[in-house]
Amino acid sequence: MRIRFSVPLVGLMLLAGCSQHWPMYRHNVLRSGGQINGSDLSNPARVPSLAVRWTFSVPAADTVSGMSPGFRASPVVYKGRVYVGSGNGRLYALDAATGAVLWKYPAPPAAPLRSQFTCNPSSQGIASSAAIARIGGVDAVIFGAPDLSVGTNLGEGRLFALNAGTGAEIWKSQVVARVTGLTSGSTTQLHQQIGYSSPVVSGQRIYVGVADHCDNPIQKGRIMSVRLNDGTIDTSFTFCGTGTCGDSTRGGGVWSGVAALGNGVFATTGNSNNGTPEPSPNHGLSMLRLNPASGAVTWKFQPVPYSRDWDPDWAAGPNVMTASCGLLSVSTMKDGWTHAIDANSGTRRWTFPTATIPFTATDGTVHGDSRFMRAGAAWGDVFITMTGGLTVTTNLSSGYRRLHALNVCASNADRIRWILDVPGASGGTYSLGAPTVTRGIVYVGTDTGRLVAIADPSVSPAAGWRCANTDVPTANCVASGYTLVPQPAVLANVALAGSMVYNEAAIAEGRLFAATGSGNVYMLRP
Amino acid sequence: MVELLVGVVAALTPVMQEPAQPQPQATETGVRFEQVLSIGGTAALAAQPLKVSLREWVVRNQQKASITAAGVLVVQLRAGGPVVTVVNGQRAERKEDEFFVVPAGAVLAVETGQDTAVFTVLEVQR
Repeated sequence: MRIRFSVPLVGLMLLAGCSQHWPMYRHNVLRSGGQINGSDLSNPARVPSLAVRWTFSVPAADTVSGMSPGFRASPVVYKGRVYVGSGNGRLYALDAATGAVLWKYPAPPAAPLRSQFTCNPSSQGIASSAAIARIGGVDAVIFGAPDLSVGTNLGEGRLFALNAGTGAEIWKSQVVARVTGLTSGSTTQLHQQIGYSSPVVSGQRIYVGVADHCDNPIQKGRIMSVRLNDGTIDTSFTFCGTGTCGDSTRGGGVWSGVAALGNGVFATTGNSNNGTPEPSPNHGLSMLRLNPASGAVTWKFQPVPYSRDWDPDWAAGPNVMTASCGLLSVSTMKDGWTHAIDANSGTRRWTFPTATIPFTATDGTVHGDSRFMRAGAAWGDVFITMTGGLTVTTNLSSGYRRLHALNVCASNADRIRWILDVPGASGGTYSLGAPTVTRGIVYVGTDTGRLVAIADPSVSPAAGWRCANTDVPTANCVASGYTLVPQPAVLANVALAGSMVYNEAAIAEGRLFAATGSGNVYMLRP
Repeated sequence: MVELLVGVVAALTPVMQEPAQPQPQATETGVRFEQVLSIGGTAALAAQPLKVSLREWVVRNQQKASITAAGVLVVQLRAGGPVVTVVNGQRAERKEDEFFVVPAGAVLAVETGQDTAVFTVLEVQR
């Protein structure tokens, strides 16, 4: 199948970033997760020789007691340098060619960036992937982290802008995520965090999401707008997940990186039903487009009604796709359902598997705290995602180790492009990281420390066929009313040390960069 | 210096309090199906009425909750796993999609962690 791009969308693609670098989480402001520049990493004849060329391990001396050197943030790569924040509360700048440390921030013996309120990897050290921007004519690396030196001294979240060349501070933002106490379950304290949300730079503003720590308890979700030049908060932009920003309602946390496109900010939000009456307005469990100046909601897509909200936080952020059938915002919710929304109008294009939206109490669906949390990758009209698939209501967890490639502009009958059970994924609740793609070659990490390269059947012959309903044997597929779909070839399967479930592989400058839960950063190339 | 001043001001300012909100419900139950069925009715066996119900049982995060099985329960954890269950003193960690059986008269206790657990419960009661 040919990948088609419409002429009007070429400009948007340029805006999305044709960078050979990987300057932010998911590569660009649309959160595509794709590298359109060709290299050996997009050459199916070269990919099988993919191998580790250098390894960086976080020095033990950098990690204070009680913190982990594991990486939950993903590397960004710009002008021959790799930038990645560690669970030990330090950001590392590495030479992309050798892995040598260029600088670290804060450099020991300075205290690491950390919070006193921690409960899972999102709140330990730096979990927010960085973004590259220009500030005052200087390349800057911007990231979010908790900081014991500001506000309540409990680890309130703020953004940091550092000189990308030297690591010198350009600014530290005002507090964007409040922590006003350490009592688990307290409904009178604020327990906000930036967590996994990666900042996105659009024009002269930086947008970053705010959520809670482990629903302990659930907090009011926010998106904050910070001025690029000095790190002050732009209070003319306000978005809160529920009610008004000043009331006591909770929910709608923004767990992931938001996307930006000139006149729109796109986000997905966490749940809001914690057993209390529904707040008004309720922007929880939604995909949203916001006015970038004011934060006003331009459109909202909310497939799960409040009464069915059993905590399927929409943790995979939006992927704004410049597809041949228009501008789409596509994402898979934690419950395993994938939705494609017209990014201009907010109307739903399709849901996979097909469903009547909103879901109802009698449709047999369950919308709970399942683990479809990873952002998808976009390549032309193809969206590669971890999704529940046709077994979403019957065998939900089988999807945890599986990738689907979906044709976003096709009819429902032709939606599935291929399906693969990723080798080296255990099938447990956290099995896969977020996939990335370059010209039809998909890279994804697993919980057992495998980095796997998969070839779209249009660039390398498929390995075989399997049933679109993955619970149906291939031999019975057609007779059971389903179609056969390709099972793509695995071109490489490289062993790394440590899980990659929180991390994406950055495809930059002809190299692949992966950070793992064991505190290692790898550079690979064929 | 500005930051130092901000820090001093913050330290002197009373910690921000949020207005308390109503206590949330720890569990909810939705009945999907409930009916008395007549099973059997052969020459050798008189028809036996069986009460059959299908429910969704939701236990919010950080909760301990229990239900007493009037009849036999066939339970599936649909979301929010892994979750610890205790039946007749036996603790077990349940994964998503896992089925398990609770004998009639037993108590099914559930302890949730960070996540809300959703169970589908089929009960068959004489």
